[in-house]
Amino acid sequence: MARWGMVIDLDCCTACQACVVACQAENNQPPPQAGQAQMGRSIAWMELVTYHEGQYPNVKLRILPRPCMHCDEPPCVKVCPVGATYKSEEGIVGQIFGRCIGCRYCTTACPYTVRYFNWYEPVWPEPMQKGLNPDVSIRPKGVVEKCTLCHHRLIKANDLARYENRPLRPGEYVPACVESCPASAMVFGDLDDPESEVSQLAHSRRAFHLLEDLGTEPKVIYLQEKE
Amino acid sequence: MEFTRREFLIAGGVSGALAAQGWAVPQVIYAGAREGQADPLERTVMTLCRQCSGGCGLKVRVIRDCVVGIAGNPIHPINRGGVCPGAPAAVQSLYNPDRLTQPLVLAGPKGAGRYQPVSWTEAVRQLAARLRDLRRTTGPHGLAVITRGDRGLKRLLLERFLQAYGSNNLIDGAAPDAHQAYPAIRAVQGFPRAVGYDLAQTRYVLSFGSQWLDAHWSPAQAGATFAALRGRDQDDRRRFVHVEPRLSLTAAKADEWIPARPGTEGALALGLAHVIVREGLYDRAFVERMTDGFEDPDGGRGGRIGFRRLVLRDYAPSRVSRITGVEEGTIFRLAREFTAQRPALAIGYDGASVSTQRTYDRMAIHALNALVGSIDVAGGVTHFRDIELLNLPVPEPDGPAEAGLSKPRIDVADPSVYPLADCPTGMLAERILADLPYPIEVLVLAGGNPVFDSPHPQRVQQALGKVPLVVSLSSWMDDSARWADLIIPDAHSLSSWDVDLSHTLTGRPVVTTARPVVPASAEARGSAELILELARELGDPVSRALPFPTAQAAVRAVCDTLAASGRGGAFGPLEQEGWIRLLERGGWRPPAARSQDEFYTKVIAAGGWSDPIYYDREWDRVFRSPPRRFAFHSALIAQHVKPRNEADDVRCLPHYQAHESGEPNEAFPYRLYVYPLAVLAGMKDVNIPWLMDASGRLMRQRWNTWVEINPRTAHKLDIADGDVVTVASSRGTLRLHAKLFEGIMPEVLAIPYGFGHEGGGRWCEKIGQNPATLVDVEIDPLTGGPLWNSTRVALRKT
Repeated sequence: MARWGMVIDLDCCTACQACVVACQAENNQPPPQAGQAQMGRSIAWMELVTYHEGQYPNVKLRILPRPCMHCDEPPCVKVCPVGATYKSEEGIVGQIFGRCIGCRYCTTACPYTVRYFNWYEPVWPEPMQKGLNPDVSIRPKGVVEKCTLCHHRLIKANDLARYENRPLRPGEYVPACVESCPASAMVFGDLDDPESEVSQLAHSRRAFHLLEDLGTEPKVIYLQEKE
Repeated sequence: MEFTRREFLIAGGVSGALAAQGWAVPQVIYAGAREGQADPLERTVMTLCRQCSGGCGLKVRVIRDCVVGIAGNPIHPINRGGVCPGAPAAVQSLYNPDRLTQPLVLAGPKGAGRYQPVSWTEAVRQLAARLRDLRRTTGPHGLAVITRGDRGLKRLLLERFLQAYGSNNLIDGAAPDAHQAYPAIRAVQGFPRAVGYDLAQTRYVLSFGSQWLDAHWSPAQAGATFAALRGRDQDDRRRFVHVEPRLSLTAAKADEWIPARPGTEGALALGLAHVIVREGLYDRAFVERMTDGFEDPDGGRGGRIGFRRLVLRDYAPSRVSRITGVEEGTIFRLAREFTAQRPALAIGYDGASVSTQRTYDRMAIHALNALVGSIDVAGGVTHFRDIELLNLPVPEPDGPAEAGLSKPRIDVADPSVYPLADCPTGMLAERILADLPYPIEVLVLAGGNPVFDSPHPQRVQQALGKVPLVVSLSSWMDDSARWADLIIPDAHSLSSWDVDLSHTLTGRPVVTTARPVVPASAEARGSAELILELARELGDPVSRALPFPTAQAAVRAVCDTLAASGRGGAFGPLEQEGWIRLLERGGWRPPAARSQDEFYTKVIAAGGWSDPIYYDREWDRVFRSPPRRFAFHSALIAQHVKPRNEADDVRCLPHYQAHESGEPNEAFPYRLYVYPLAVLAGMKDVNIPWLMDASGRLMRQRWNTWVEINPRTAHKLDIADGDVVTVASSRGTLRLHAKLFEGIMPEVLAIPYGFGHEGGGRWCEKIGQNPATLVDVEIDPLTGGPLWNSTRVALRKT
């Protein structure tokens, strides 16, 4: 059984946001609306987080692309009253949109704030619906949504492997964000496979987790040279 | 094969049941998951990205004639499967509710925005009639076409069209991003094209305000080279220092950010040159053998001066420090760092950004590359190798065409004043308004959005109002199309045939092919189709120059030309590229296809063609001007200046000039810094909600324009974060939200460029403000082109 995880190399990342938009397109995230967006209600499962530090001229701008951490100990799963969110056997923290009642306990519980509430009815003005990805369902107003590690791609890749009567090959299942990265700053794969690039990078001395002390055991690992 | 919903569900249900019992799943559901498999439900098409000028290859996922996903072409030499945000967002540009789908004819006064739809055929007929008329009456030179600096099929066809029609007025680069660094390279090397920087293989990068991670002309390529520069392990991590008045994304990603006053990067480069020369740190072999003008001309008789003596005399770190605001010690340190590791690269503003650097500044920055011998070597400056795309005889002009072609171009400044008169579209509006050198009767906007892109938008509007017939080929009712008399919207690049010539940063040519992924509508066909149809309507000699029945036939002709070149081949994996390189170096022809048909099929299926070879130190190719060496003392400028004394020599050498507008004063105490907004920079289509939403993220701003103020400056004026302030220049005033930002010099105010459209669709119209209305341009003394960042402004709390 694989344990899917991702490494994001901040030394290579150029913060171009290709991953952000590739994720929005792959997962049918609704076009943001100016008014709602100004209230901070636009949805981007993969989001750029920025911190400014220091004073002129010794200023640092730190930038993290932040997807769902797919914690091994996810705080969001524990609080869901209706079982709409779960951790799969392969470690993916999923969301069953149809079951969500919109209580937003999970958005509060998530320390990484990567769960997004649909504050408004998503609108795709004609003819924008044509571009929707048929593999991913769209979510109505009042439902929480989040990164699924492009779970639909895993299902497809598994089906194909089963059809061809072989195990899933490394690199066959890759989320849209990783696929899009021009700098190859993101590496995806099985964290339990000691041969995989992702597990080797995850043990690099540059590796760290976000909010490590919370004990959430994230499966998204960042790499950065210490200063 | 047609599927009904019922059949589809049955197929799915059956396969599910079979799979449960361990049977093979019929291919019908996920067949598209396997590469290259023909299937009625899903297919993958390799094509070209036209969102910006980067020339990336796309892998488009299509289900039943709908584009449902866009990723990078994994074997494309420019982007290797990666993309920038523009590519996935192209779905929102293709299926945009505000995209124009039918030609429109003005029905009311200009600029009022009342239009009537007409058919495509009728629109072409009307335009052809006017062009035929123009050719007979005042002459064909009255036609001018503005492009966005494309190098694609449209450009190839336009060139031939205008040659046969009889006009020289093919004007490149309405957008500031199209204003490349050619003039400086031309001045010192005579090389007539843009150059590349082999960032992936260099050991040290010193970037002078180039913002190459915010706004590169090829963003996906910039990302990949940055990653290569960083390396995966610490031993291979190379140093990258960035100089800019503002902590841009590029500065944030650099190892060190050095703030310098706007427009002083050239002075800093000369300061480094001073230290390098004085301490003897330069590459003596290269400077002695391959350069000209380093020592004083005529042995210094008659007060003549060369590069060495000029930098030693005028650019001591103490003086440079006063000009730039960079500490003296830093100047010494940078010079030593820069020369300690070879190859090192000094890069100036490169591509998609508002042009802030004078040609002299660019020459000064480029001179640093010559001092360390980083010219035409791996990890240095590369010079794009050319490839002929169409092998057709130059069209033979008839009487009227010959008369038209004898007239000068309208956009070229007076070469007796500007030695490197280039393509100063910033002055185009002024020239049209003044009928210089003759009136323009028909202006075709075949790309770009000059009203938004130019520093003085009102003047451009006036110019568009003055020209009797303005034709826009924009797909949007954008800032400029609103001033057109006739709009013939271009089809989306995902539904037209096209080719694009681009280059890797290592200098290798890449030709990407585009084919219709989804059908175009009959009323909005591709611009290439429009040009061919116009030529047919006009008849000989124009139609003879463009002997292609369709755009597809023109793409085919390009492929045949490439096949005949005996170079390179269709895109392939890296191993295949290595094989071609090996053969070519050995003097063999790479294994081409057996027939032209096979070659064409291969190229279209792979998404394009490339020639993976580059020869270092091809001095004859890269030094084209008379001394056939790197000319610190520009021979090209000298032809105009005819230097006889020291002052003339200085005009031929890289040197620093203070802003014409003078230093900030009491009325306007701050310098305005307009910077291109990452994500939106260089994008052709901006009415894309995902891109608009992403563009402000770095500064945690959303869907509005802000002005960045150093907290110390803000404190003096009692301005808090989020306050509404006014920023005023001698040209205009804007009301903006204040954003206190430690990453901006205290004497500088920064405003992002990219918002504030007056048209173009619901997601970009009336969102934010356009700082171009504040900009007071300075004219480049060599090219006559506009420079954006010399404006002085005042700031007030409201």
